[in-house]
Amino acid sequence: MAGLRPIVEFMTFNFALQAFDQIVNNAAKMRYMSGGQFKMPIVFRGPNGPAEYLSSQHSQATQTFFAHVPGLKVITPATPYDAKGLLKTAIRDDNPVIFLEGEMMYSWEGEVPEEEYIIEFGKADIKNEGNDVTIITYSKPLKVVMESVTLLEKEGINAEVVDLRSIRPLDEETIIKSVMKTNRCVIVDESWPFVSVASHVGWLISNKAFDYLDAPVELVTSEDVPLPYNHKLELAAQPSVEKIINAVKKVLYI
Amino acid sequence: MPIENIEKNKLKDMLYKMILIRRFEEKAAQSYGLKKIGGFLHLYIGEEAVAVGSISNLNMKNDYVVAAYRDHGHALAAGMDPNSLMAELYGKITGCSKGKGGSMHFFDYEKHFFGGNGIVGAQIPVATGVGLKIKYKKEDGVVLCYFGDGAIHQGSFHESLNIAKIWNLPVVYICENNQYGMGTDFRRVSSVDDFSIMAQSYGMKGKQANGMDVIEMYDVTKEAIKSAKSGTPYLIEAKTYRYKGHSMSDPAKYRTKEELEEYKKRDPIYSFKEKLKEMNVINEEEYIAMDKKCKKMAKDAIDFAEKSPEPDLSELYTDVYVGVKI
Repeated sequence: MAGLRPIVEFMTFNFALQAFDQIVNNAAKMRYMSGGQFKMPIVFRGPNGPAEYLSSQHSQATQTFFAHVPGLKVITPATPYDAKGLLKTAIRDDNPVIFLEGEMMYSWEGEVPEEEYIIEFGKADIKNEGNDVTIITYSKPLKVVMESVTLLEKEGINAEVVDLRSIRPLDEETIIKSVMKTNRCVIVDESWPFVSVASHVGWLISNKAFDYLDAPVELVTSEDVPLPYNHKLELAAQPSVEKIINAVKKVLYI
Repeated sequence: MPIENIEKNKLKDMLYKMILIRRFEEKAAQSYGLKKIGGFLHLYIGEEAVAVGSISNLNMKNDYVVAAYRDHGHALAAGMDPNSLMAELYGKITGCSKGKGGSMHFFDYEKHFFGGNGIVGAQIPVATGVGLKIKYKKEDGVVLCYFGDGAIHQGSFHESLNIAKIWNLPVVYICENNQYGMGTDFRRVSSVDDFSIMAQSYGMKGKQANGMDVIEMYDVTKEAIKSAKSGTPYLIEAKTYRYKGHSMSDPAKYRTKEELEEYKKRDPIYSFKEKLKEMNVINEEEYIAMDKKCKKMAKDAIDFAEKSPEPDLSELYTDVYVGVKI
Protein backbone atom coordinates (compact mmCIF):
# COMPACT_ATOMS: atom_id res chain seq x y z
CA MET A 1 0.00 0.00 0.00
CA ALA A 2 3.06 2.22 0.39
CA GLY A 3 4.58 1.44 -3.01
CA LEU A 4 6.16 -2.03 -3.06
CA ARG A 5 4.84 -5.10 -4.88
CA PRO A 6 5.58 -8.02 -2.54
CA ILE A 7 5.30 -11.73 -3.34
CA VAL A 8 4.85 -13.70 -0.14
CA GLU A 9 5.73 -17.40 -0.26
CA PHE A 10 4.10 -19.57 2.40
CA MET A 11 5.82 -22.85 3.14
CA THR A 12 2.29 -24.23 3.00
CA PHE A 13 -1.09 -22.51 3.08
CA ASN A 14 -1.76 -24.38 6.32
CA PHE A 15 0.75 -21.99 7.88
CA ALA A 16 -0.91 -19.01 6.15
CA LEU A 17 -3.70 -19.41 8.70
CA GLN A 18 -1.34 -17.81 11.21
CA ALA A 19 -1.38 -14.75 8.93
CA PHE A 20 -5.12 -14.96 8.22
CA ASP A 21 -5.84 -11.67 9.98
CA GLN A 22 -3.26 -9.76 7.93
CA ILE A 23 -4.67 -11.19 4.71
CA VAL A 24 -8.37 -10.83 5.51
CA ASN A 25 -8.52 -7.73 7.70
CA ASN A 26 -5.68 -5.76 6.17
CA ALA A 27 -4.86 -6.79 2.59
CA ALA A 28 -8.47 -7.40 1.56
CA LYS A 29 -9.99 -4.33 3.26
CA MET A 30 -7.62 -1.35 2.90
CA ARG A 31 -8.83 -0.24 -0.50
CA TYR A 32 -12.49 -0.39 0.39
CA MET A 33 -12.17 1.19 3.84
CA SER A 34 -10.10 4.05 2.48
CA GLY A 35 -12.66 4.84 -0.18
CA GLY A 36 -10.38 3.58 -2.95
CA GLN A 37 -7.24 5.52 -2.02
CA PHE A 38 -4.91 2.56 -1.74
CA LYS A 39 -3.73 -0.19 -4.07
CA MET A 40 -2.72 -3.50 -2.49
CA PRO A 41 -0.55 -5.23 -5.10
CA ILE A 42 0.52 -8.33 -3.16
CA VAL A 43 0.68 -12.00 -4.11
CA PHE A 44 0.42 -14.75 -1.49
CA ARG A 45 1.57 -18.01 -3.03
CA GLY A 46 2.57 -21.49 -1.95
CA PRO A 47 1.51 -25.13 -1.68
CA ASN A 48 -2.11 -25.89 -0.83
CA GLY A 49 -4.15 -29.03 -0.27
CA PRO A 50 -3.28 -32.48 1.03
CA ALA A 51 0.10 -34.03 0.31
CA GLU A 52 0.68 -37.45 1.90
CA TYR A 53 0.89 -38.78 5.47
CA LEU A 54 0.75 -35.30 7.05
CA SER A 55 -2.45 -35.54 9.12
CA SER A 56 -5.02 -32.84 9.82
CA GLN A 57 -3.05 -29.66 10.49
CA HIS A 58 -0.84 -29.98 7.38
CA SER A 59 -3.32 -31.27 4.79
CA GLN A 60 -5.95 -28.60 4.23
CA ALA A 61 -7.30 -27.30 0.95
CA THR A 62 -7.74 -23.70 2.08
CA GLN A 63 -9.33 -22.09 -1.01
CA THR A 64 -12.78 -21.75 0.52
CA PHE A 65 -11.45 -19.66 3.43
CA PHE A 66 -10.01 -17.10 1.03
CA ALA A 67 -12.59 -17.29 -1.76
CA HIS A 68 -15.22 -16.18 0.76
CA VAL A 69 -13.60 -12.77 1.17
CA PRO A 70 -14.49 -9.87 -1.15
CA GLY A 71 -11.31 -7.95 -1.92
CA LEU A 72 -9.19 -11.06 -2.52
CA LYS A 73 -8.61 -12.79 -5.86
CA VAL A 74 -8.09 -16.55 -5.70
CA ILE A 75 -6.19 -18.31 -8.47
CA THR A 76 -5.82 -22.07 -8.86
CA PRO A 77 -3.75 -23.32 -11.83
CA ALA A 78 -3.62 -27.03 -12.67
CA THR A 79 -0.91 -27.17 -15.36
CA PRO A 80 2.63 -25.73 -15.65
CA TYR A 81 1.50 -23.67 -18.66
CA ASP A 82 -1.38 -22.10 -16.76
CA ALA A 83 0.77 -21.57 -13.66
CA LYS A 84 3.25 -19.37 -15.54
CA GLY A 85 0.67 -17.30 -17.37
CA LEU A 86 -1.50 -16.80 -14.30
CA LEU A 87 1.38 -16.00 -11.94
CA LYS A 88 2.50 -13.20 -14.24
CA THR A 89 -1.00 -11.80 -14.19
CA ALA A 90 -1.11 -12.15 -10.40
CA ILE A 91 2.09 -10.16 -9.93
CA ARG A 92 0.91 -7.41 -12.28
CA ASP A 93 -2.50 -7.19 -10.61
CA ASP A 94 -2.95 -4.25 -8.24
CA ASN A 95 -5.10 -6.30 -5.86
CA PRO A 96 -4.19 -8.93 -3.26
CA VAL A 97 -4.04 -12.33 -4.98
CA ILE A 98 -4.07 -15.74 -3.30
CA PHE A 99 -2.19 -18.06 -5.65
CA LEU A 100 -2.72 -21.71 -4.70
CA GLU A 101 -0.35 -24.41 -5.92
CA GLY A 102 -1.31 -28.00 -5.13
CA GLU A 103 1.48 -29.46 -3.02
CA MET A 104 1.51 -32.70 -5.00
CA MET A 105 1.63 -30.80 -8.33
CA TYR A 106 5.24 -29.62 -8.12
CA SER A 107 6.50 -32.81 -9.80
CA TRP A 108 4.02 -32.57 -12.68
CA GLU A 109 5.49 -31.90 -16.10
CA GLY A 110 4.10 -29.99 -19.06
CA GLU A 111 5.05 -27.71 -21.95
CA VAL A 112 5.87 -24.15 -20.94
CA PRO A 113 6.89 -21.71 -23.72
CA GLU A 114 10.03 -19.65 -23.09
CA GLU A 115 8.39 -16.52 -24.40
CA GLU A 116 6.26 -14.10 -22.46
CA TYR A 117 2.54 -14.79 -22.18
CA ILE A 118 -0.13 -13.96 -19.68
CA ILE A 119 -3.46 -15.60 -18.90
CA GLU A 120 -6.30 -13.34 -17.92
CA PHE A 121 -8.05 -14.00 -14.59
CA GLY A 122 -11.63 -15.25 -14.75
CA LYS A 123 -11.15 -17.30 -17.91
CA ALA A 124 -11.84 -21.00 -17.50
CA ASP A 125 -10.22 -23.42 -19.92
CA ILE A 126 -11.90 -26.36 -21.63
CA LYS A 127 -9.37 -29.14 -21.02
CA ASN A 128 -11.46 -31.71 -22.91
CA GLU A 129 -14.41 -31.23 -25.23
CA GLY A 130 -17.43 -33.50 -24.91
CA ASN A 131 -21.20 -33.58 -25.20
CA ASP A 132 -22.46 -36.06 -22.62
CA VAL A 133 -21.59 -34.45 -19.29
CA THR A 134 -19.70 -31.44 -17.94
CA ILE A 135 -17.06 -32.04 -15.27
CA ILE A 136 -16.06 -28.80 -13.56
CA THR A 137 -12.85 -28.78 -11.55
CA TYR A 138 -9.74 -26.75 -10.72
CA SER A 139 -6.23 -27.27 -9.36
CA LYS A 140 -4.91 -30.72 -8.42
CA PRO A 141 -8.08 -32.81 -9.00
CA LEU A 142 -7.74 -32.06 -12.75
CA LYS A 143 -5.40 -35.09 -12.87
CA VAL A 144 -7.96 -37.59 -11.54
CA VAL A 145 -10.62 -35.93 -13.69
CA MET A 146 -8.56 -36.44 -16.87
CA GLU A 147 -7.87 -40.06 -15.90
CA SER A 148 -11.61 -40.55 -15.39
CA VAL A 149 -12.33 -38.97 -18.78
CA THR A 150 -10.04 -41.48 -20.51
CA LEU A 151 -11.82 -44.39 -18.82
CA LEU A 152 -15.26 -42.92 -19.55
CA GLU A 153 -14.35 -42.54 -23.26
CA LYS A 154 -13.79 -46.29 -23.40
CA GLU A 155 -17.38 -46.70 -22.29
CA GLY A 156 -18.54 -44.27 -24.97
CA ILE A 157 -19.13 -41.37 -22.56
CA ASN A 158 -17.67 -38.07 -23.73
CA ALA A 159 -17.11 -35.67 -20.87
CA GLU A 160 -16.37 -31.97 -21.24
CA VAL A 161 -13.83 -30.80 -18.68
CA VAL A 162 -14.02 -27.18 -17.51
CA ASP A 163 -10.89 -26.16 -15.61
CA LEU A 164 -11.88 -23.02 -13.70
CA ARG A 165 -8.23 -21.87 -13.20
CA SER A 166 -9.55 -18.87 -11.28
CA ILE A 167 -12.14 -19.09 -8.49
CA ARG A 168 -12.48 -15.38 -7.86
CA PRO A 169 -13.18 -13.95 -10.42
CA LEU A 170 -15.23 -16.91 -11.63
CA ASP A 171 -15.93 -17.56 -15.33
CA GLU A 172 -19.68 -18.05 -15.05
CA GLU A 173 -20.18 -17.81 -18.80
CA THR A 174 -18.04 -20.84 -19.67
CA ILE A 175 -19.64 -22.91 -16.91
CA ILE A 176 -23.18 -22.13 -17.99
CA LYS A 177 -22.43 -22.54 -21.70
CA SER A 178 -20.98 -26.00 -21.15
CA VAL A 179 -23.88 -27.15 -18.95
CA MET A 180 -26.38 -25.85 -21.49
CA LYS A 181 -24.60 -28.03 -24.05
CA THR A 182 -24.30 -31.26 -22.04
CA ASN A 183 -27.31 -30.88 -19.67
CA ARG A 184 -25.49 -32.76 -16.91
CA CYS A 185 -22.81 -31.70 -14.48
CA VAL A 186 -20.39 -33.09 -11.91
CA ILE A 187 -18.23 -30.70 -9.86
CA VAL A 188 -14.93 -32.04 -8.50
CA ASP A 189 -13.35 -30.04 -5.67
CA GLU A 190 -10.71 -31.27 -3.18
CA SER A 191 -11.87 -28.99 -0.38
CA TRP A 192 -14.71 -29.86 2.01
CA PRO A 193 -18.26 -29.92 0.62
CA PHE A 194 -19.94 -27.60 3.15
CA VAL A 195 -20.22 -23.98 1.89
CA SER A 196 -17.53 -24.63 -0.71
CA VAL A 197 -16.54 -23.54 -4.22
CA ALA A 198 -18.31 -26.68 -5.43
CA SER A 199 -21.55 -25.86 -3.61
CA HIS A 200 -21.43 -22.28 -4.92
CA VAL A 201 -20.95 -23.42 -8.53
CA GLY A 202 -23.76 -25.93 -8.01
CA TRP A 203 -26.08 -23.12 -6.93
CA LEU A 204 -24.96 -21.00 -9.88
CA ILE A 205 -25.94 -23.74 -12.31
CA SER A 206 -29.31 -24.33 -10.70
CA ASN A 207 -29.91 -20.60 -10.80
CA LYS A 208 -28.84 -19.90 -14.39
CA ALA A 209 -29.25 -23.20 -16.24
CA PHE A 210 -32.06 -24.92 -14.35
CA ASP A 211 -34.17 -25.55 -17.43
CA TYR A 212 -31.26 -27.17 -19.21
CA LEU A 213 -30.48 -29.76 -16.51
CA ASP A 214 -31.47 -33.38 -17.10
CA ALA A 215 -30.22 -34.46 -13.64
CA PRO A 216 -29.34 -32.85 -10.31
CA VAL A 217 -25.75 -31.58 -10.15
CA GLU A 218 -23.42 -34.00 -8.33
CA LEU A 219 -20.46 -32.96 -6.17
CA VAL A 220 -17.28 -34.99 -5.68
CA THR A 221 -15.37 -33.35 -2.83
CA SER A 222 -13.18 -34.43 0.06
CA GLU A 223 -15.16 -36.12 2.81
CA ASP A 224 -16.45 -33.75 5.47
CA VAL A 225 -13.72 -34.70 7.99
CA PRO A 226 -10.23 -33.45 8.91
CA LEU A 227 -7.60 -35.45 7.00
CA PRO A 228 -6.21 -38.45 8.95
CA TYR A 229 -2.59 -39.65 8.92
CA ASN A 230 -3.28 -43.26 7.92
CA HIS A 231 -2.66 -43.46 4.18
CA LYS A 232 -5.56 -45.70 3.27
CA LEU A 233 -7.93 -43.41 5.14
CA GLU A 234 -6.51 -40.18 3.74
CA LEU A 235 -6.83 -41.46 0.18
CA ALA A 236 -10.40 -42.57 0.88
CA ALA A 237 -11.17 -39.04 2.08
CA GLN A 238 -10.28 -37.38 -1.22
CA PRO A 239 -11.80 -37.29 -4.73
CA SER A 240 -10.80 -40.35 -6.75
CA VAL A 241 -11.30 -41.74 -10.26
CA GLU A 242 -13.81 -44.22 -8.89
CA LYS A 243 -15.86 -41.53 -7.15
CA ILE A 244 -15.85 -39.32 -10.27
CA ILE A 245 -16.94 -42.13 -12.58
CA ASN A 246 -19.73 -43.08 -10.18
CA ALA A 247 -20.93 -39.48 -10.06
CA VAL A 248 -20.86 -39.19 -13.86
CA LYS A 249 -22.89 -42.37 -14.19
CA LYS A 250 -25.32 -41.09 -11.61
CA VAL A 251 -26.08 -37.91 -13.55
CA LEU A 252 -26.36 -40.01 -16.72
CA TYR A 253 -28.73 -42.42 -14.93
CA ILE A 254 -26.59 -45.45 -15.81
CA MET B 1 20.64 -29.88 43.89
CA PRO B 2 23.99 -31.71 43.95
CA ILE B 3 23.74 -34.94 41.98
CA GLU B 4 24.72 -36.92 45.09
CA ASN B 5 21.45 -35.86 46.72
CA ILE B 6 19.31 -37.32 43.95
CA GLU B 7 18.07 -40.82 44.65
CA LYS B 8 20.04 -43.51 42.83
CA ASN B 9 16.95 -45.09 41.31
CA LYS B 10 15.92 -41.71 39.96
CA LEU B 11 19.31 -41.31 38.30
CA LYS B 12 19.10 -44.78 36.79
CA ASP B 13 15.59 -44.06 35.53
CA MET B 14 16.78 -40.92 33.78
CA LEU B 15 19.55 -42.84 32.03
CA TYR B 16 17.13 -45.59 31.07
CA LYS B 17 14.60 -43.15 29.61
CA MET B 18 17.25 -41.39 27.52
CA ILE B 19 18.48 -44.69 26.10
CA LEU B 20 14.92 -45.80 25.39
CA ILE B 21 14.23 -42.61 23.46
CA ARG B 22 17.37 -43.05 21.37
CA ARG B 23 16.72 -46.70 20.56
CA PHE B 24 13.08 -45.93 19.76
CA GLU B 25 14.12 -43.16 17.37
CA GLU B 26 16.73 -45.34 15.66
CA LYS B 27 14.14 -48.04 15.02
CA ALA B 28 11.62 -45.47 13.77
CA ALA B 29 14.23 -44.11 11.34
CA GLN B 30 14.87 -47.65 10.04
CA SER B 31 11.18 -48.24 9.43
CA TYR B 32 10.92 -44.87 7.71
CA GLY B 33 13.73 -46.00 5.37
CA LEU B 34 11.67 -49.10 4.62
CA LYS B 35 8.69 -46.82 3.83
CA LYS B 36 6.65 -48.33 6.64
CA ILE B 37 6.29 -44.86 8.15
CA GLY B 38 5.40 -41.89 5.94
CA GLY B 39 5.24 -38.11 6.03
CA PHE B 40 7.38 -36.13 8.44
CA LEU B 41 9.52 -37.84 11.07
CA HIS B 42 11.29 -35.38 13.37
CA LEU B 43 13.82 -37.31 15.45
CA TYR B 44 14.86 -36.33 18.98
CA ILE B 45 18.30 -37.99 18.90
CA GLY B 46 20.84 -35.75 20.67
CA GLU B 47 18.18 -33.81 22.60
CA GLU B 48 17.15 -36.59 25.02
CA ALA B 49 18.46 -34.85 28.16
CA VAL B 50 16.05 -31.92 27.72
CA ALA B 51 12.80 -33.91 27.90
CA VAL B 52 14.07 -36.49 30.37
CA GLY B 53 15.74 -34.04 32.76
CA SER B 54 12.74 -31.70 32.88
CA ILE B 55 9.90 -34.24 32.85
CA SER B 56 11.63 -36.30 35.60
CA ASN B 57 10.40 -33.60 37.99
CA LEU B 58 6.76 -34.25 37.20
CA ASN B 59 4.00 -36.26 38.73
CA MET B 60 1.90 -36.96 35.66
CA LYS B 61 -1.21 -37.40 37.81
CA ASN B 62 -1.25 -33.65 38.51
CA ASP B 63 1.14 -32.21 35.96
CA TYR B 64 0.93 -31.77 32.19
CA VAL B 65 3.21 -31.85 29.16
CA VAL B 66 2.53 -29.96 25.93
CA ALA B 67 5.01 -30.49 23.11
CA ALA B 68 5.52 -29.46 19.49
CA TYR B 69 5.88 -31.80 16.50
CA ARG B 70 9.26 -33.25 17.61
CA ASP B 71 7.34 -35.06 20.32
CA HIS B 72 8.53 -38.67 20.57
CA GLY B 73 11.05 -37.99 23.35
CA HIS B 74 8.58 -36.09 25.52
CA ALA B 75 5.91 -38.76 25.11
CA LEU B 76 8.32 -41.50 26.20
CA ALA B 77 9.69 -39.38 29.07
CA ALA B 78 6.10 -38.76 30.22
CA GLY B 79 5.57 -42.51 30.43
CA MET B 80 3.62 -43.26 27.27
CA ASP B 81 3.80 -46.81 25.95
CA PRO B 82 6.41 -47.25 23.18
CA ASN B 83 4.13 -49.81 21.49
CA SER B 84 1.29 -47.35 21.08
CA LEU B 85 3.70 -44.67 19.87
CA MET B 86 5.31 -46.88 17.23
CA ALA B 87 1.87 -48.09 16.14
CA GLU B 88 0.90 -44.44 15.70
CA LEU B 89 3.92 -43.93 13.43
CA TYR B 90 2.69 -46.91 11.42
CA GLY B 91 -0.80 -45.37 11.21
CA LYS B 92 -2.36 -48.33 13.01
CA ILE B 93 -5.59 -48.41 15.04
CA THR B 94 -3.58 -49.42 18.14
CA GLY B 95 -1.65 -46.14 17.96
CA CYS B 96 -2.05 -43.53 20.68
CA SER B 97 -4.15 -41.42 18.28
CA LYS B 98 -5.75 -44.37 16.42
CA GLY B 99 -3.47 -43.81 13.43
CA LYS B 100 -5.09 -40.47 12.72
CA GLY B 101 -2.27 -38.26 13.99
CA GLY B 102 1.08 -39.82 13.07
CA SER B 103 4.52 -38.67 14.23
CA MET B 104 3.57 -35.05 14.96
CA HIS B 105 0.41 -35.81 16.91
CA PHE B 106 1.02 -38.11 19.86
CA PHE B 107 -1.72 -37.58 22.47
CA ASP B 108 -2.71 -39.18 25.77
CA TYR B 109 -5.51 -37.47 27.64
CA GLU B 110 -5.32 -39.83 30.63
CA LYS B 111 -1.56 -39.44 31.01
CA HIS B 112 -1.76 -35.67 30.62
CA PHE B 113 0.22 -35.59 27.38
CA PHE B 114 -1.53 -32.85 25.38
CA GLY B 115 0.29 -33.32 22.03
CA GLY B 116 2.06 -33.55 19.62
CA ASN B 117 1.20 -30.18 17.87
CA GLY B 118 2.00 -29.48 14.22
CA ILE B 119 1.83 -25.72 13.78
CA VAL B 120 4.96 -23.90 14.94
CA GLY B 121 4.30 -22.11 18.23
CA ALA B 122 0.58 -22.85 18.24
CA GLN B 123 0.81 -25.16 21.26
CA ILE B 124 2.10 -22.36 23.53
CA PRO B 125 -1.36 -20.79 24.04
CA VAL B 126 -2.74 -24.32 24.61
CA ALA B 127 -0.24 -24.92 27.44
CA THR B 128 -1.08 -21.51 28.89
CA GLY B 129 -4.75 -22.45 28.92
CA VAL B 130 -3.97 -25.69 30.75
CA GLY B 131 -2.11 -23.54 33.30
CA LEU B 132 -5.26 -21.44 33.75
CA LYS B 133 -7.30 -24.61 34.38
CA ILE B 134 -4.88 -25.70 37.13
CA LYS B 135 -5.07 -22.32 38.79
CA TYR B 136 -8.85 -21.93 38.34
CA LYS B 137 -9.52 -25.32 39.90
CA LYS B 138 -6.92 -24.68 42.61
CA GLU B 139 -5.01 -27.86 41.74
CA ASP B 140 -1.45 -28.64 42.69
CA GLY B 141 0.08 -28.99 39.24
CA VAL B 142 2.33 -27.45 36.64
CA VAL B 143 2.53 -27.43 32.85
CA LEU B 144 5.78 -27.94 30.96
CA CYS B 145 5.45 -26.38 27.50
CA TYR B 146 8.07 -27.23 24.85
CA PHE B 147 8.82 -25.41 21.61
CA GLY B 148 11.83 -24.77 19.40
CA ASP B 149 14.08 -21.82 18.60
CA GLY B 150 11.99 -21.20 15.48
CA ALA B 151 8.76 -20.92 17.46
CA ILE B 152 9.98 -18.36 19.98
CA HIS B 153 9.50 -15.53 17.49
CA GLN B 154 5.84 -16.32 16.93
CA GLY B 155 3.30 -13.92 18.37
CA SER B 156 1.70 -16.84 20.19
CA PHE B 157 4.79 -17.14 22.43
CA HIS B 158 4.84 -13.47 23.41
CA GLU B 159 1.10 -13.23 23.94
CA SER B 160 1.18 -16.37 26.09
CA LEU B 161 3.99 -15.16 28.33
CA ASN B 162 2.25 -11.88 28.90
CA ILE B 163 -1.02 -13.47 29.93
CA ALA B 164 0.74 -16.16 31.99
CA LYS B 165 2.33 -13.44 34.12
CA ILE B 166 -0.79 -11.30 34.35
CA TRP B 167 -2.65 -14.32 35.74
CA ASN B 168 0.40 -15.84 37.47
CA LEU B 169 -0.12 -19.24 35.86
CA PRO B 170 1.84 -22.38 36.81
CA VAL B 171 3.54 -22.82 33.44
CA VAL B 172 7.20 -23.46 32.64
CA TYR B 173 8.04 -22.56 29.04
CA ILE B 174 10.98 -24.55 27.72
CA CYS B 175 12.60 -23.38 24.50
CA GLU B 176 14.59 -26.26 23.05
CA ASN B 177 17.22 -24.32 21.16
CA ASN B 178 18.78 -26.95 18.92
CA GLN B 179 20.44 -24.09 17.00
CA TYR B 180 18.58 -24.52 13.70
CA GLY B 181 15.00 -23.64 12.74
CA MET B 182 14.85 -26.21 9.95
CA GLY B 183 17.99 -25.10 8.05
CA THR B 184 18.33 -21.60 9.51
CA ASP B 185 20.87 -20.76 12.21
CA PHE B 186 18.89 -19.25 15.09
CA ARG B 187 21.26 -16.25 15.25
CA ARG B 188 20.18 -15.20 11.74
CA VAL B 189 16.54 -14.84 12.74
CA SER B 190 16.74 -13.63 16.32
CA SER B 191 17.44 -10.14 17.59
CA VAL B 192 19.00 -11.65 20.73
CA ASP B 193 21.24 -14.70 21.20
CA ASP B 194 20.13 -15.41 24.75
CA PHE B 195 16.44 -16.30 24.63
CA SER B 196 16.12 -16.53 28.40
CA ILE B 197 16.23 -12.72 28.66
CA MET B 198 12.88 -12.54 26.87
CA ALA B 199 11.31 -13.59 30.20
CA GLN B 200 12.20 -10.19 31.66
CA SER B 201 10.01 -8.42 29.11
CA TYR B 202 7.03 -10.03 30.78
CA GLY B 203 8.15 -9.80 34.40
CA MET B 204 8.95 -13.49 34.52
CA LYS B 205 12.08 -15.36 35.46
CA GLY B 206 14.30 -16.92 32.81
CA LYS B 207 17.45 -18.99 32.66
CA GLN B 208 19.67 -20.70 30.11
CA ALA B 209 20.49 -24.36 30.74
CA ASN B 210 22.83 -26.86 29.17
CA GLY B 211 20.40 -29.13 27.39
CA MET B 212 23.08 -31.77 26.87
CA ASP B 213 23.28 -32.30 30.65
CA VAL B 214 20.31 -34.16 32.08
CA ILE B 215 21.07 -33.20 35.69
CA GLU B 216 21.33 -29.51 34.86
CA MET B 217 17.98 -29.77 33.05
CA TYR B 218 16.52 -31.56 36.07
CA ASP B 219 17.79 -28.92 38.49
CA VAL B 220 16.85 -25.84 36.48
CA THR B 221 13.37 -27.23 35.83
CA LYS B 222 12.93 -28.00 39.55
CA GLU B 223 13.69 -24.37 40.35
CA ALA B 224 11.41 -23.23 37.54
CA ILE B 225 8.50 -25.37 38.74
CA LYS B 226 8.89 -23.99 42.26
CA SER B 227 8.70 -20.48 40.88
CA ALA B 228 5.77 -21.24 38.55
CA LYS B 229 3.74 -22.89 41.29
CA SER B 230 4.28 -19.90 43.55
CA GLY B 231 2.98 -17.43 40.98
CA THR B 232 5.87 -16.52 38.69
CA PRO B 233 5.91 -18.43 35.42
CA TYR B 234 9.34 -19.33 34.11
CA LEU B 235 11.18 -19.50 30.78
CA ILE B 236 14.06 -21.96 30.28
CA GLU B 237 16.26 -21.88 27.20
CA ALA B 238 17.74 -25.36 26.85
CA LYS B 239 20.83 -25.21 24.64
CA THR B 240 20.81 -28.48 22.76
CA TYR B 241 21.58 -30.08 19.41
CA ARG B 242 19.85 -32.52 17.09
CA TYR B 243 22.14 -35.06 15.51
CA LYS B 244 19.78 -35.69 12.59
CA GLY B 245 18.19 -33.30 10.11
CA HIS B 246 15.04 -31.31 10.86
CA SER B 247 13.06 -34.23 9.47
CA MET B 248 14.02 -37.33 7.51
CA SER B 249 14.10 -35.40 4.22
CA ASP B 250 16.73 -32.93 5.48
CA PRO B 251 20.39 -33.81 4.69
CA ALA B 252 21.49 -30.99 7.07
CA LYS B 253 24.02 -29.44 4.67
CA TYR B 254 23.78 -26.10 6.45
CA ARG B 255 26.14 -27.19 9.22
CA THR B 256 29.60 -28.75 9.29
CA LYS B 257 30.53 -32.30 10.16
CA GLU B 258 32.97 -30.90 12.68
CA GLU B 259 30.19 -29.09 14.50
CA LEU B 260 28.14 -32.28 14.70
CA GLU B 261 31.15 -34.29 15.91
CA GLU B 262 31.87 -31.66 18.54
CA TYR B 263 28.37 -32.11 20.01
CA LYS B 264 28.58 -35.89 19.80
CA LYS B 265 31.62 -35.70 22.08
CA ARG B 266 29.29 -34.15 24.64
CA ASP B 267 26.65 -36.78 24.03
CA PRO B 268 24.04 -36.55 26.80
CA ILE B 269 23.70 -40.30 27.25
CA TYR B 270 27.40 -41.17 27.13
CA SER B 271 28.48 -38.38 29.46
CA PHE B 272 25.74 -39.16 31.99
CA LYS B 273 26.58 -42.85 31.93
CA GLU B 274 30.25 -42.05 32.62
CA LYS B 275 29.26 -39.80 35.49
CA LEU B 276 27.05 -42.49 37.03
CA LYS B 277 29.89 -44.99 36.70
CA GLU B 278 32.26 -42.63 38.50
CA MET B 279 29.68 -42.31 41.26
CA ASN B 280 29.26 -46.08 41.41
CA VAL B 281 25.57 -45.77 40.67
CA ILE B 282 25.91 -48.24 37.83
CA ASN B 283 28.68 -50.31 36.25
CA GLU B 284 29.32 -51.05 32.58
CA GLU B 285 27.51 -54.42 32.75
CA GLU B 286 24.39 -52.84 34.16
CA TYR B 287 24.54 -50.18 31.45
CA ILE B 288 24.83 -52.85 28.75
CA ALA B 289 21.87 -54.73 30.24
CA MET B 290 19.86 -51.49 30.33
CA ASP B 291 20.70 -50.77 26.70
CA LYS B 292 19.75 -54.31 25.70
CA LYS B 293 16.40 -53.91 27.41
CA CYS B 294 15.73 -50.64 25.55
CA LYS B 295 16.74 -52.16 22.23
CA LYS B 296 14.34 -55.01 22.86
CA MET B 297 11.54 -52.61 23.78
CA ALA B 298 12.09 -50.69 20.55
CA LYS B 299 12.12 -53.90 18.54
CA ASP B 300 9.02 -55.17 20.33
CA ALA B 301 7.33 -51.88 19.52
CA ILE B 302 8.08 -52.44 15.84
CA ASP B 303 6.67 -55.98 16.03
CA PHE B 304 3.58 -54.68 17.78
CA ALA B 305 3.10 -51.95 15.17
CA GLU B 306 3.60 -54.34 12.24
CA LYS B 307 1.14 -56.88 13.60
CA SER B 308 -1.51 -54.30 14.49
CA PRO B 309 -4.46 -53.81 12.14
CA GLU B 310 -5.09 -50.68 10.10
CA PRO B 311 -8.07 -48.56 11.14
CA ASP B 312 -11.32 -49.50 9.46
CA LEU B 313 -12.46 -47.09 6.74
CA SER B 314 -15.39 -46.13 8.97
CA GLU B 315 -12.86 -44.51 11.35
CA LEU B 316 -12.66 -41.68 8.82
CA TYR B 317 -15.97 -40.35 10.16
CA THR B 318 -15.46 -40.85 13.90
CA ASP B 319 -14.00 -38.30 16.35
CA VAL B 320 -15.00 -35.21 14.36
CA TYR B 321 -17.44 -34.19 17.09
CA VAL B 322 -18.09 -35.45 20.60
CA GLY B 323 -20.88 -37.99 20.72
CA VAL B 324 -21.94 -37.55 17.12
CA LYS B 325 -21.24 -39.76 14.15
CA ILE B 326 -21.64 -37.97 10.86
